[in-house]
Amino acid sequence: MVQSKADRLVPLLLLLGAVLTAVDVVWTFTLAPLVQGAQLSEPVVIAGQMVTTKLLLSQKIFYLHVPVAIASFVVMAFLAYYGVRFLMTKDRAYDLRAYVAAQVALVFIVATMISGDLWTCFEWGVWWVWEPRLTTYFILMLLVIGYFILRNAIDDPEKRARFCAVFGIIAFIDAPISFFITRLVPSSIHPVVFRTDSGLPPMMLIPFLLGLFGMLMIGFALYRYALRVHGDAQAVEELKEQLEELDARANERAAAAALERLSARHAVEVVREAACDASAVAARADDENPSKED
Amino acid sequence: MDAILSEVYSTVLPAAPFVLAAYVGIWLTLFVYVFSLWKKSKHTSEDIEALKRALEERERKE
Amino acid sequence: MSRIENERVCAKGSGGRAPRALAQYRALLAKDVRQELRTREMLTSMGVYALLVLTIYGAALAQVGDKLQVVSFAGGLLWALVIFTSLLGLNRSFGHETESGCLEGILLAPVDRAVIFLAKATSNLLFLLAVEVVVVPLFFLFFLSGAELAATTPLIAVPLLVGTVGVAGVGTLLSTMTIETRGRDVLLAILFIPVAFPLLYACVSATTCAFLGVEGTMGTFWTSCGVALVYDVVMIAAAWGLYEFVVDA
Repeated sequence: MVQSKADRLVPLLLLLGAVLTAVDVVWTFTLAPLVQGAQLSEPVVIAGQMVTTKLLLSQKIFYLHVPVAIASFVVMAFLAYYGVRFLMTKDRAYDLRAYVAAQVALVFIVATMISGDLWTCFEWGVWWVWEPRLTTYFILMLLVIGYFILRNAIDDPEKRARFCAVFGIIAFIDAPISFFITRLVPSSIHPVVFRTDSGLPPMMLIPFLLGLFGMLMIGFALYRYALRVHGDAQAVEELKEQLEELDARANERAAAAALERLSARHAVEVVREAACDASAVAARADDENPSKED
Repeated sequence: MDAILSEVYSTVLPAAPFVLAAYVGIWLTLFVYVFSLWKKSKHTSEDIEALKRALEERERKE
Repeated sequence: MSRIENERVCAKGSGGRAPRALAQYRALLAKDVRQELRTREMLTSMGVYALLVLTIYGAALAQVGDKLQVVSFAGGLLWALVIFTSLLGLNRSFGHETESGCLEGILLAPVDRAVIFLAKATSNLLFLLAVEVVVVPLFFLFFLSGAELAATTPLIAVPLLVGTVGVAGVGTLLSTMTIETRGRDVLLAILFIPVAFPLLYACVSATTCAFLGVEGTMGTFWTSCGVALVYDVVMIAAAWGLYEFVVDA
């Protein structure tokens, strides 16, 4: 419930990110040229330009697919970073941040998988290929899912935070592998985007960069929003537990008081009974005594 | 449309549903996540109300 | 147990930090090996399990007849066997530590956490290698006795060794984490298989190259072994550094 400076920036960033990605989408379908595919049987002139190859619409997926994928890598880096911070400080706030980062990472990974798989299906004609980039990215998704399963399997919050931080750091090691694998493995058929040699023409690079920055902003806004929601939920849970504890203690105290009262009453009765007994004995003694004295 | 032009655009039309689905898929995923967060926050505010009521009840009792 | 205590006391007495760590490492490793030699719990269960996986392979490949070239995917089969068997072993390796409260005892002693990790990883590595020594010849006997083997086949020992080192290193870290959780057997598989995947990928590639022995693929063989080795170094360094947070009670 703490409103920090970053929280006030969230709506602004979200708006800016939405505008940037919207511009990216519009630019993609209007100004960005179509990518050239297979060779034509004979060249043809369209709108004053010589066209020698088929034009590919499917490449348009790239303008949003790659920004989302890069955003997922960035969020994964935050997951590992907050894991390291937690292990250094043992501050539970970092555990919450790492958890929220893992959620946002999973969302971006799923979005990347959906868009990428549709492209794979159209261009390669199959729904799935065990190609290095796809495989390592799939593994990244399994690692993040494993993170949540590990979280659910431990009850002790302190131990859960420690183990999850360790696993988050281990899981992040796959992210750079997935990012660089298209450059490392020559047999990879996944297109390489960031290169110094060829590069994209400006009309394609600009919308891509707009989309990239827009997605990063959206990712940050999502993260802050999720952090606030989960932070509030956690605080409320803690308050509930405190209240229950207070109630339990009050009940305990009431029960103890009742018990005390009861035992006090009992004691009084016992004393009274004892007194009765004593007087009875005394009376009997009195009865017996005179005869003895005689 | 003449033959060569239809060859130029031969993959454009079949690709359109895939491109559309990809864009919709990305935004849909993000919106589903935001929706789940929104539901959680609503749940939390309900809990806060319940806590407030519980506190008031206790104060009245005392 | 008393002998170990004696050894540890001796180790403490022998002065300097590094020699003491070495003596502690040796004492912990000797404890694991001695315990395993006495009960043979892990080795027998892993060996029998590997045999069962081979039986399942037999059923899976029973209908394909003689035309199929098993050599072309023997690398993958062999590594699936190694991964499944080591999963079982890793689950067992901490089982008796927690059951007998031994781990708490070790943690109470003034032993560096990194030394505990190294000792445990080494003992896991030794047991995995011991099982592989038995199982890999059996694999050849069952599935490759009729096939013509390439001259480079003995080179599969390189990816097997490099891969097993990585499996033992990262598996030790993950099994220490999962041992105290609910549903630990499944959880170890869920965490271990994705984490070990890059290693598995590289090792299968190298093993397949060695099995086929095609001219000009030796470059890929050594690159894959190199990738596996880099993975080993990165993962074991990470596991070593993070281990103290996993056992720190």
